[in-house]
Amino acid sequence: MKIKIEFLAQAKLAAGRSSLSLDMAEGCTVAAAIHAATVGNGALQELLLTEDGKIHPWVLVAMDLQSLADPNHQVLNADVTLRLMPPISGG
Amino acid sequence: MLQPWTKQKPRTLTEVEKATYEWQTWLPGFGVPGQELLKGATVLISRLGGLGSPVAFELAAAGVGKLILAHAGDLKPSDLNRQILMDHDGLGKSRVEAAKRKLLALNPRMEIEAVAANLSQENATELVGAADLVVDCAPLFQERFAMHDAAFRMGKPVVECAMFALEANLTVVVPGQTPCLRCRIPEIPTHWKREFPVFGAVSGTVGCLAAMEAIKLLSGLGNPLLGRLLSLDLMDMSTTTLDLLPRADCALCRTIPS
Repeated sequence: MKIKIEFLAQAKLAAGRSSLSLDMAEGCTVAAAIHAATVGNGALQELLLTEDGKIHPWVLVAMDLQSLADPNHQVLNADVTLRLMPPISGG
Repeated sequence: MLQPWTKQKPRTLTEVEKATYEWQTWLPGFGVPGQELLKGATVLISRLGGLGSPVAFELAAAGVGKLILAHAGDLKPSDLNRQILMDHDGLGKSRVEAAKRKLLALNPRMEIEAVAANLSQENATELVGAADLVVDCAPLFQERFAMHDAAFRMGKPVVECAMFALEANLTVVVPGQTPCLRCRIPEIPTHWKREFPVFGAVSGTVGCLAAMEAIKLLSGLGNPLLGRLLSLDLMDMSTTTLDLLPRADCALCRTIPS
């Protein structure tokens, strides 16, 4: 199934792009999609995922327009847009 | 309509104030009663950098009765692309005192408490406790946590704004009614760097929007971003509003008795 990932803030900088389309197997998790999106990009992987492959607890993950309370175990729906937003602040 | 978080008492306007705020009191749903609620309000703004400067300026212009401004340190050249309450003559001098002078020049009727310290676990209870509403413009997540934790304990609303490059976020946290900051960011993000790319026009944009949310919360006007996060990208002028969910295992929200 097709999904789209949108990178925001530092994730966009690390990805070098604002979005990416992926073809994922049905029933896979959001974490699996993020892992697939970060393959070959160590900086992006470090920003979004822990060493054991879980999503950092402070990364806001939204499926379409709804934030996810437990993105590590959330199963992906087809045709969704995942938005990945590391926290930002002021200055 | 007044909301549960509107705790301040309205204060009667003088003739000068009626004339000063005439254009905004023409707004249906706001009027003189809304202006009197702004005059009766005290707002804490944590830091007066790229975000806090426009927030403070717009709240002073709008006629908020009292601002508590918390910001340590002196002005550096690299502050001047976005900290619009400062100017070149203030280099090497106190930021918070420069801000106070600029704001009182705009609105000499208001009260300003300038605190030459940043929010911390040590002073958060006192500073947040003295305000009706908090606007979070802090750069460090340690400050944000201290501020939000204190506001949560005291039931005070927080307007939270943030920026990075050409992107900005804005949301409103009301204890017991919306997810809290720790629902979204349960621990200090290790990747966050104190210095980052940004234009003053980006911080100015989201700072003005944050000031408008503060005005709405204080006066009961409109629908603030309760439990919703506005994400702006000025690179392509796109906006997205996300619905935020509480975190089931949030250490702070769990302290509310069910």
